[in-house]
Amino acid sequence: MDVLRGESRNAYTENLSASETGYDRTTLFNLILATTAGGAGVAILSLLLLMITGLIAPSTAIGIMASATVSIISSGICYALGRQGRIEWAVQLYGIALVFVVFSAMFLYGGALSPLVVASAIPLTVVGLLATRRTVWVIGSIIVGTYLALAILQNVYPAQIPVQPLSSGAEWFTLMVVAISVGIIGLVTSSVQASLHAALQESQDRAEKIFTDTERLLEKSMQQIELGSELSAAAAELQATSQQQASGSTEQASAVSQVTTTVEELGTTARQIAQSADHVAQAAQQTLEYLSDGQQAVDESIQAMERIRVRMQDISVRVLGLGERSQQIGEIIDLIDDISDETHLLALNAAIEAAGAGEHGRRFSVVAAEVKNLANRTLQAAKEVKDVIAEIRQATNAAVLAAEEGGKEVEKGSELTYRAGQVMDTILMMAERTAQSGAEIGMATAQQQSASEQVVEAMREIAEVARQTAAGARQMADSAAMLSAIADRLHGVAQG
Amino acid sequence: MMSATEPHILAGNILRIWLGPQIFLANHTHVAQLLPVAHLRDMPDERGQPMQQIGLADLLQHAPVPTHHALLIATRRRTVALLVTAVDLWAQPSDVAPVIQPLPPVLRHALTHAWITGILIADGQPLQLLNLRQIAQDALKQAAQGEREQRGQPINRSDDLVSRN
Amino acid sequence: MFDQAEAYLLFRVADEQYALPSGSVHEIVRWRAAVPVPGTPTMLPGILVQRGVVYTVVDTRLLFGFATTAPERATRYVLFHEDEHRLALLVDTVLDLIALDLTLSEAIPATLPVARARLLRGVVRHTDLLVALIEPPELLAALYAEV
Repeated sequence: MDVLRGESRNAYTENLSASETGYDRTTLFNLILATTAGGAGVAILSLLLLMITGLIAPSTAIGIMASATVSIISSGICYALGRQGRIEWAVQLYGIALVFVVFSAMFLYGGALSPLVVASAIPLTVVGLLATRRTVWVIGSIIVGTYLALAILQNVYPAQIPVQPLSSGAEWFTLMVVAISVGIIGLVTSSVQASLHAALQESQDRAEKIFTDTERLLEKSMQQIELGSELSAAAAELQATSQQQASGSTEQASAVSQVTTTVEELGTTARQIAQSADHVAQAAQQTLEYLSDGQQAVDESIQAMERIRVRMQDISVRVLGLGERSQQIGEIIDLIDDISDETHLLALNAAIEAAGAGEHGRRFSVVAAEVKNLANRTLQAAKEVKDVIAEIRQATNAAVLAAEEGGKEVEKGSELTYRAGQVMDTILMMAERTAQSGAEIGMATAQQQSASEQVVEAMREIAEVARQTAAGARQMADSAAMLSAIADRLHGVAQG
Repeated sequence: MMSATEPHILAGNILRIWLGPQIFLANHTHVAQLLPVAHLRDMPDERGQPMQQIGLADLLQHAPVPTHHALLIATRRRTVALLVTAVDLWAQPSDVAPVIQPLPPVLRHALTHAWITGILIADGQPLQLLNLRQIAQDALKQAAQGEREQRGQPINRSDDLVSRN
Repeated sequence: MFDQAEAYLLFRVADEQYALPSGSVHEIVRWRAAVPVPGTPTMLPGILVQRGVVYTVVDTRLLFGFATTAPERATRYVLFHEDEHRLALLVDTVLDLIALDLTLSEAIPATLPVARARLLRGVVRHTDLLVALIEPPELLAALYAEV
């Protein structure tokens, strides 16, 4: 019965705890503790009195007094726990401690059939009053289990577990204590009942008041409900919009970030282009320098070619002169040839004459033979000279030809060199143009670079703005969500 | 009559005949008339027939030469006009008699016609003395023979002549 | 210096050497244009007058069975007397008047063409040259046979 009632109470106190919990329960618990501690104190005093009067053996009195002391100490600990709001823990500790106090006292005084067993109802009652159903079951099981175990142990090993015989005074005392305790508990319980009743009454009043307030609120809410639903719709819309805006801003931020990256890349590229253009300009400048050297070389070679051409013409003229001279020599040699021919013929004819003259011509024939030999030698010499002259003329002809060819080659070379000069001029012009273009590109890319840096800066600002916009939009969305929730609740409250 | 093999003095006037650049000599008594080739046109011979005109260079197998003058040679039967480049009278030195050397025996042996009767040396150059009368007679004979042959086998011969030309 | 019987005029026709007894040689003259005689064969290109004597030019190349050539600087006339004949033998060149030892004469090579072999008396080696000895009467006979 107590257990069931405790459970209902417990449920009630738990119900109360949502609104005005803690105080009543703590107060009740403190009351119980105080009662327990007070009971224990009374028990100690009574035992001292009994011990002095000799109604009770001092050993028994000391054992019970130790039990009472333990219950006082555990009450203190439970009080400390209760002060911290750990009522459940405190109740469990209190219950278990008291149960052990009771059982130890019971063994010291009367065994399993001792009237002290009844005392175990006290903590059980307290626990039933204050603890949850589960705790009540646990502590109850512990009490029953411990009692049964002690009873069996005492019957099986009576020697090891000696039981003090219960004096009649002790029985009275025990009855007295139990009576006092039950009385106290009953007192406490009734006071608790009264305070509970008052609390219930108060709660009912409050509920009534709340009810009337709610009635009024309901009326207001009925009016607000439409507004609320509109607000809810508007808030939802706002939320959606804000979310869209947030996501849009996020997209914008990412797009801006992409653009920024691209523009930065553009800037990098422009820088590279500027470097390349600078290199080109440098290369063109170098080309210009080389070309000026080359032009000088070409000019020099043109002059050299001209000198060679003049020299070649000179050589040609000289060689031609030599050819004419050797022609003249040839003519002279022809004359010599003719004369030698004639001389030879003369000598031959003289020899023939001499041969015809027989003895008379003999001396003449000697002279004729000499003349003929001379003519032969002259002919031979003339022939050799002619051969040499022929060689000279061949050589001079070849030289003239070669000189003419050389002249032509030199002319060609001059023309080629002149053309090379012209090409150099063209290249020079182009290199100048290239250098100029490189410089222009460099300038343009520098401008582009600074422009892209400006763009990047602007993009950063835009990104920042977008980020802020996104954050704002998110906040707005959150606010809208909250607003929506509020509106929903408002709506729900108004409807419920 | 003097022997052809012995040097002899040529009496009378001597004609100098040009065949291109080469000079030949001839006895003027052999020549009936001397006239430019242009005058030969329409001139009939004694029998009223057209004059027989023969290029002397052709007869002598000489290289072709231009012909301006015609030597009219009278034979027993008819007169022949021998066409030459030019003809004049050879002005012989008055103090030197024109000695005609006989033709060398090898040449006499080699020549088929007795058209060259001797050689006159002038200024170290040999000038051949032509027997124009003999040349004219032989030419007429050749022409007559040619005509006969032409009449006998007109087609073939004409072909032959054409091909020879 | 040498006996009349031993003196020979050495001359060249084509690339062969010939020798004439110096007794039949009157003079050697350079080539000059001969005066052509109408109606004569090519072997007799014309006539020459040398010291008032009329010579009949004979192209020995043709007589000896060679092809004729244009005259050159070395071309000569060998003025040849034999009986009453006065010939100007046109030869490629006259080399020399030499003395030939006729005891060294050899037989005429069988390979020599008849055109030449008929004129010759024999061949003689002179220094390193093989010289064909011409027999003047045979030369005349050959000439008359040809023209």
